[in-house]
Amino acid sequence: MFFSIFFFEVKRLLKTVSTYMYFLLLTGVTFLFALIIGGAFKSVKAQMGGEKIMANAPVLVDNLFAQIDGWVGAIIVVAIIGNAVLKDFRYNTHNMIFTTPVSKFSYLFGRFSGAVFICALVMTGPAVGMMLGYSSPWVSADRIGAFEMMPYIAAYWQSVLPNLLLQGAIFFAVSLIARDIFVIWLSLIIYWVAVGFATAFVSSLQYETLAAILDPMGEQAKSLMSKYWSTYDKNHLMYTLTGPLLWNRLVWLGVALAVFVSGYLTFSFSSAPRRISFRKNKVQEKITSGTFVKVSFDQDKLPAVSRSFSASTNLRNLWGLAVNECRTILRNVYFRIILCFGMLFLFIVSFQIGKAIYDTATFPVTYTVIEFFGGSFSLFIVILTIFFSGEIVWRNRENRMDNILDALPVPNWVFYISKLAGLLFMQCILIAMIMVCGMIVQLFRGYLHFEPGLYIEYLFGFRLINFWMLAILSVFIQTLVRNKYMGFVIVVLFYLWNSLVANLVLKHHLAVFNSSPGVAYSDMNGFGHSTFPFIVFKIYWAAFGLILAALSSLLWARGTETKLGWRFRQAPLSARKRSFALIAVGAIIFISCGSFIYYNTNIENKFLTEYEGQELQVNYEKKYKQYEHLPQPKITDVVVNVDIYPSDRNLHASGSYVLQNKTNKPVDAIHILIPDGVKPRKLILSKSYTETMFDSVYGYHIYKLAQPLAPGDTIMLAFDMDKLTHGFTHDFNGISTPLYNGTFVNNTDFMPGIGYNPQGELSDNADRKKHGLAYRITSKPITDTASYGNNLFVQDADFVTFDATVSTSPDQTAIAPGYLQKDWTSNGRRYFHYKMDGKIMNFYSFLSARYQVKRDSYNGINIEIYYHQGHEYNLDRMINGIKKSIAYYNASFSPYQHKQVRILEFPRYATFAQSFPNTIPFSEGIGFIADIDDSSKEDIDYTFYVTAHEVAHQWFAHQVIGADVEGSNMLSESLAQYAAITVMEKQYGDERIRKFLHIEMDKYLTARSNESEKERALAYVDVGQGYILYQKGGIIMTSLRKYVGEDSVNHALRNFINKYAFKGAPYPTTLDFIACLRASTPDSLQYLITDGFQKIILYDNQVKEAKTVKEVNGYVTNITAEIKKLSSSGEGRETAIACDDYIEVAIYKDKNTILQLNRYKLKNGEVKLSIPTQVKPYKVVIDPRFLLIDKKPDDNEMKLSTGDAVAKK
Amino acid sequence: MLQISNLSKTYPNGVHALKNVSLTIDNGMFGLLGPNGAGKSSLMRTIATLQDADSGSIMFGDIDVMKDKAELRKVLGYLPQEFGVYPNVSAEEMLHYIARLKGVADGRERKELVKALLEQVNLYQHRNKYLAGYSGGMKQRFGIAQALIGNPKLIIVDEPTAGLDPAERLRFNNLLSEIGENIVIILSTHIVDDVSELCNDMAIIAGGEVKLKGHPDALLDTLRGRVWAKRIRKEEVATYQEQYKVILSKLSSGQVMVYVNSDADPANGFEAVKPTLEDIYFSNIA
Repeated sequence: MFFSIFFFEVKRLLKTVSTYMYFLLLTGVTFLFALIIGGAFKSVKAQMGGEKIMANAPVLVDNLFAQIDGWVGAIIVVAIIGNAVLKDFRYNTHNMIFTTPVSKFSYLFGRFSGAVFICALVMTGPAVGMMLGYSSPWVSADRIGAFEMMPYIAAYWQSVLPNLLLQGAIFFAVSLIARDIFVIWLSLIIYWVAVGFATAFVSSLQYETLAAILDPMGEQAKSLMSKYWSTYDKNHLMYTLTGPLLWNRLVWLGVALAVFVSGYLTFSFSSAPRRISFRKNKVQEKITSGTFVKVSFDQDKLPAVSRSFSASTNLRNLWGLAVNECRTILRNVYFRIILCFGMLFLFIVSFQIGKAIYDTATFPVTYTVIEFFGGSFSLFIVILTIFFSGEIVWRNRENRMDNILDALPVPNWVFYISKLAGLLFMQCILIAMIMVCGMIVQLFRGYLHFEPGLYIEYLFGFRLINFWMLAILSVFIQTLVRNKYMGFVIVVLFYLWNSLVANLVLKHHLAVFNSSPGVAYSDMNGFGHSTFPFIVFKIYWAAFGLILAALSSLLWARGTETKLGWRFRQAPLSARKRSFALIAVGAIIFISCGSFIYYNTNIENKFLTEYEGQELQVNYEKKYKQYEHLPQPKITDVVVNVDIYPSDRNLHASGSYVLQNKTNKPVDAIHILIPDGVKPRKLILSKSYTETMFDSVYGYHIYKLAQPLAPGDTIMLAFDMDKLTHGFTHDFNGISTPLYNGTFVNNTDFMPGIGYNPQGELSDNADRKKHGLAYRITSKPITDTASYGNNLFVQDADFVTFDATVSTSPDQTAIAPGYLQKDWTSNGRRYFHYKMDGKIMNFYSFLSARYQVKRDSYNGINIEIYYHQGHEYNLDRMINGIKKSIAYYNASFSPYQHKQVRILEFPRYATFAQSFPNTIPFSEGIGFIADIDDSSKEDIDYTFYVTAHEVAHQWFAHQVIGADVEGSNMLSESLAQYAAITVMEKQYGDERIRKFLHIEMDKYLTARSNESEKERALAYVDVGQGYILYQKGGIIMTSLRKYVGEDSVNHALRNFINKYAFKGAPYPTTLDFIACLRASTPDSLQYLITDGFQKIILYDNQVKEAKTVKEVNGYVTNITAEIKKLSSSGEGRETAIACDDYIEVAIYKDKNTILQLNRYKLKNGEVKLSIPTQVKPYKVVIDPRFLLIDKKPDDNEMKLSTGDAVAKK
Repeated sequence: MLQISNLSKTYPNGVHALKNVSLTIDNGMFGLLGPNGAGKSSLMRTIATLQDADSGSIMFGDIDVMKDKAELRKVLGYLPQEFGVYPNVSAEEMLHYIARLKGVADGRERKELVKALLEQVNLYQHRNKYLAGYSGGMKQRFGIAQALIGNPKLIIVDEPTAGLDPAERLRFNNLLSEIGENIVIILSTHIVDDVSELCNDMAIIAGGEVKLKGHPDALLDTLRGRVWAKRIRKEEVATYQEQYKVILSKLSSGQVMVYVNSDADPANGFEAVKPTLEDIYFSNIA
């Protein structure tokens, strides 16, 4: 019996066209993705996990296979499995079937397994799509590894099938319990939200295992498994069913089984459907008699009513109907469930608000709440919109109300708009829910600075319109299709295409549905200049929406005929005319707005696709690389007047450089490079010359001198530059341009440079290959002694004198490096004259904003914080950070070279802080709104940390700067990191630093796993390898401090500064630094320097076994540990090497307190230790202070249990 | 007056639903009698603007139904053969909704109208109940109430009594019989009694064609004195069907009653019977 039902189901599905459509759909979509990942489109760049990872690497095969099936496939699972039993109720065949002698088991399992079997076949689509894609002639050969079948099979068994079983069991069980397709969709939404919920946990290190197990799809478990995999590993390893992934699969298969069983148990052949419904009772009527009864009916007694079909009635009807639609949605039980569920979701994830940096929260300021909720909740709104659009369009037909309603004297547009209004209203409710939940969360966090205006502006002004457009689109699609599910699939596919791929393929926002340059909010600058282009773009898309709406209304399905042609013909002439008029109006707005946008983005401003931009760089290199080593004079003195016009977003700069020929050859021509987007009004030299070349594309000028500039001679360059804002650009550009409030620009943005600048070259080697350029070493080799003459920052100057006058609007304060000499107001503008007493790097910033100032001083050094009103939270932490830093650096390294430290807040368009001479621009996004709980052991005061790091740059960068060769960035970043960690440890103690280093370790290991080129050793680090510069550098230097001693390391730093500070060319390299370090390190620890700086060394230590025995006077803990030291190649190939290193082992008193810390010299392999303690130990940890880079820090510790058996003896 | 001329319709699956149908229908109740699948509903739906014909025309007064659907909808009351209801909407709400859509814009008027309608179709006491819980007869009465909103000039009632129990059917037909005589009412049904009880004009449709049209009495006259019946054994039926023009043979107390059409007395034990519409029906659809 089971088999006949099974085969009947299979045969039925095999005879259904949609089964094949689903398969083709999955195949096709994946094929497209495969082509994109495989590099088939030259100008589309999409990678997953790094350039060196093959498109068909096992991990990528698994990801794509599982994700396509898990997301798009879930809809198919609902359609096939959810309907397996439901269709009997829908077509009323259940009465027939349930009265046959078939057993419940055979019936349910037969239907279920038949449907699952077909789904399992359909779900192989992505594998076929990938295989076709990766073997097609269009993909680029170097992105594809050798074909192997195993990854596909493994992905199918490990990811696709378990997910299918889970989804199938859930949707099947729900269909049995509820017998309502609506509830099945609801469960799909809940399922998706559960997936999203799991991802919300991932960002936090302490919850990642939890997230891995919670994620029903298993994606988080897989990414946790491959988190530290090197490129080599990713190309060769497959996910294995171990650890969290195994647990995840078991847990969710268990859930699937439980759900299935509960569905099975509740299902009964005899029971009536248990639709979720309230107060629905059969109405009983008394039948009086079967004979003729004169009914009271008298048509004439019906009250006379006036009827009207005028436009105003239609409008009133429309209003009434729209209200009715909205009420229907509000009264919808499912919608209410979804609302409650959504709220619950928001509250649960809210604890992650603002926790982006070091697991430490920011205050729940309004914009973070909106952006956090808006981000995680928008998928929710999108799903509901797509879902309800189908419900709304198909409700009448599904309830068979269409026969009555379609014949009513109501124009299509009334039906259409009222339905649409219901949908739009629903979105408003959801958006309002974000606002309400947001304020509740703020209230509970004790943050009482409510900004309802900002909520409304941000959510209803900038967010809602996007959802509305989606609503119009999905209603339009549902109007056209003949099957709701087909409509869903099309909308979902379009949505995926539009949000993931369209930008890459179509490039211009004008061509990507609902696209715009984006909106950026900053407390300092509000929505700033992103508002106007947003409005223009949204009018453009709204006009497009109008066209869709007119078409939807015209083609609104009515009656039984489904052909679009018929629908069009049956529309009354007047409706057709009206629709055409609307379409025409829409088209006119669409075209004129489009032209206006095009004029702004492409004519007033330059629009380049990524590929075109690269081509520009390629040509720059091809044309001018020849001049790279041409002797050029260097800038020695800078005088500049910078006028910032915030309201026009313009900037004007005039001034002069003194250039000196520091080479030993005469210079006969001076090459001047003008930054992009800057118009020179004047660019003249003080000695006679002729302009022999001017390239307006690159701003490249060559001035040939009448008399060559002799070695040592000077010449003056006077310039007058305009950096003007014209209209708006294709992409929002916040930083490095003048802003209404919070301008932050530096000299390279608008002042001329001298000589060829290699920074303009295309640096990504995969891109270079695409453009036919040779491999480029991003940094010059450390052996290139010729480059020692240039410093890392700028090649056109060494140390310079600096004098700047900055002007701005009267309500703003303008700041540049140097000390304020004078400030005055004239012609309605405020002027500030700054002058630096000593020499500085030729790298300086100009800022202007409506600032508040907080002042303090320390040992005669004055401290000023320029901040945005309302951001007072952490000013004291910054000041404390500055004081503690200066105190420690002065004592340990060298005296501070300036008499002042200033921190200047700038808008959160970028989130960094940067150190200029005595001036530290600091993004409002990091630190200003941090909510640090000092009593919490978990919080890291990153405001203090960032401050300490930037202040340290006044030494490491502004006193001593490395040569323009590989590794040199370490001399500024890793050393500043070292200094900051040390100061932080003094302020916050050892325990907090352990947590900090743990996070840093995790960041380093994760980032190296995504390295797109080659990981380098610290001493040869490339400028782009931040994870080595900051994370590894900080860990290695701190480790050195702990092993070798603080005094020795600081002694080395002091020597290094003494030798190289303010010296100019030749600049030092990491080799010089390492020499200083070695000089103050004992022989026994020299290996630390070799391992840390010159190799890539990892450990994989593990506590195998640990047990504590109670002895007469205390406890003894016996530990068996496995010590493993690995040396990695740049590609991530690791080989075990011999170890004989100092490794710390600690016994903890409780979860967080170290009782005893011992250092052992341990060899690789299994080692046994036994540690006596007085107090009962809690756990044992190898390398508790994170001084060694350990591949799996989790297995370094073990909780101890006291062996009771031993005690009894 | 409804004028249907040369209406033809073939569905995409090849079914020839209407073949050159022409009918003129005056005020009063018009019965459209035909077996399942005869094309009744196709015709009804086409008149009700829900479907188009391939050729032919429908004129209702001055309104060209196929061209100007919106105009017809203003004067139409339609009770479809099959209609569903929203799961959780009460009869009163639904009538309000439809009244609004039918152009009854004034809220107060609408309220009165809905109340009156509910009272007249005897649903007032159940007005707050969800329609989904209504019995078949109640649902049909609700259906006629909604069709009556807005003084329709053309009412189409498509198979209203199918599936109703005898008592419900009786009540429903009582109701239908009270609907005004100055408008066109088309009642499509496969139940002969419905037509004989209610209609003063009728047509028989089968296989997409109009077989017969006229006043039921006039139609009965054509058969008067020509219908003969005889009770026979079941195994004799085949022989009788060969020998006589059998209109109908139906079971009667375990035996079979055969009705034959014959101008002259067929003798052989046949007795003359009074013709009924059923006889006309069966002699035309055969």
